[in-house]
Amino acid sequence: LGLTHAVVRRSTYRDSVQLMSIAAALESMPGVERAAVVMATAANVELLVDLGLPPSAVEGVTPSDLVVAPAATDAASLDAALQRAQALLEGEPVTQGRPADSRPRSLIGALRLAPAANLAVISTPGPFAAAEALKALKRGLHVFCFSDNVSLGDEVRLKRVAEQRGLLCMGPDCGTSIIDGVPIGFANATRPGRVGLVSASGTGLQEVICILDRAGEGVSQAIGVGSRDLHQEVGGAMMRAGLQLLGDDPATEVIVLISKPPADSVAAAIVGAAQAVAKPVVVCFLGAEPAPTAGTVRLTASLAEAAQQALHVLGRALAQEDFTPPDGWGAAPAGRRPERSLASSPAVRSSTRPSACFARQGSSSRARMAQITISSSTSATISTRWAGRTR
Amino acid sequence: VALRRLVDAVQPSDRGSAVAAGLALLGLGPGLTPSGDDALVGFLGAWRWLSPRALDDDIRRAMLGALVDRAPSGTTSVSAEFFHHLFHGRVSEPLLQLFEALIAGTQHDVQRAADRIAAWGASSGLDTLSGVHALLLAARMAQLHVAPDKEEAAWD
Repeated sequence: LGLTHAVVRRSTYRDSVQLMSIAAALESMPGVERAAVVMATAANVELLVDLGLPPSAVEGVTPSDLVVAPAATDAASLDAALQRAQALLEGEPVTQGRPADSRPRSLIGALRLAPAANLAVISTPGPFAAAEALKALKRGLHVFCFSDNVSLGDEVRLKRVAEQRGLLCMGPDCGTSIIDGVPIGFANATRPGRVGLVSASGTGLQEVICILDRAGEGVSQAIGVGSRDLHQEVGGAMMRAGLQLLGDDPATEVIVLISKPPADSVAAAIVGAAQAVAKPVVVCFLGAEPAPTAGTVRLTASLAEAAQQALHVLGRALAQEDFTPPDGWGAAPAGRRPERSLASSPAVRSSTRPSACFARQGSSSRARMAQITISSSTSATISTRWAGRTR
Repeated sequence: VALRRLVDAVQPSDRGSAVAAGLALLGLGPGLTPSGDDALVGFLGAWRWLSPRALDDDIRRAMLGALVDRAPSGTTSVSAEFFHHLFHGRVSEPLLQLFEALIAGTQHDVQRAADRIAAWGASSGLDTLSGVHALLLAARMAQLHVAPDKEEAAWD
């Protein structure tokens, strides 16, 4: 029959991949020879008319309109194709789990959707991250700033604002936190437990958590603070804030602080703050000289030792096999989903929780990934999307 | 075919036919950024950044000016935005990396940049690359057509 009819959707934008998939869906129908799914630009309309589409079918279209024109062998197939096209266009965008209009494009938009949210995940190109983080803090949100390439000056300013408002500014350059059992950024799925951690090293944090998990212990809160928190200029602002939160958190019985070797004055300030907390604190400044126990504070130089000390405080021994993943590691028993009641911790409440099951993995790292969704390149959203199956 | 016409039109330094060939591609083809637009962005971007001596830059400016004028009514707003940025000397970062690789990079750099672009959207990346390719082709053909004495002068 050639092109005889078209479905026109006014002011409709769909991603090219979706346009192609609509075309493919129509072309897979019996009796449909091909399907044009194009934006109604003058050039395209002219082409369609050249191919036989009656001009009346595309009268008054503008370049913002979407035209779907199937070419079918018989009237019944054409009808079916047109109906299917309508359905596909009216349905949700093909590759998205949610309708496009419910995905916020700005922090303010996200807050409108989730007014009770109290944590913003910022993942934007560095130059935009500080402004987004500042917006979030000024609206009373804790910040998890995955972005790096934020200037040290901006980091100092952000953390000062956070301090003044009693908020956490995790990052910039923060890869891992586990808040109320909800992994943010990249985190291993580990059991809940009594160890609270604050770390300026995401990888170090993960390693300690993994060792604790293998030894049967778990995490109350794991707070990443970004790689530069213990720089002279930043002064360990968020490590001190995290320390205080964990000190007040009834679920936390022992605190572990992790960082690459900090500036001397910052190290001293952190240890001083740790001594003021009424809970045992294990401090790991990676590669620093091992130092003797100072009151309730234990200074360690390696991650393994830090984990060991924390376990020791909790009365758990650490066996050699806890360092060496046994065979069949990936088939670890079920029930280790890091999920706790959102209301359980007075320390930090996250607005998000994992909604999907975590996939078991065969790899030795057992890493599971929480993907941070950003809705546009320059804005942050509060939502995180959980990868149900990571590999 | 339209791209081929464009390649032919820009060589003889005929502003009118080059502009017409460019406008013929505007808004043409499938996609949120129609294929023709993607190709034009690749073509004119490569022209701007690689600035081949054999081609007359006034023609490029005439084409770009005409496209920017017509884009708001002639194509989707996303595409029009691309032309607007191109007019102000901005292209996407991967495209810029490709141009840099073509100017001063190794074959591997070019390959990597091109692979990155090819991965865009459904076909936009490949359409853009075909625009870049078309420009290179046009420049090469124009260079071959330059009279021998002029060619010598060009090497001075």
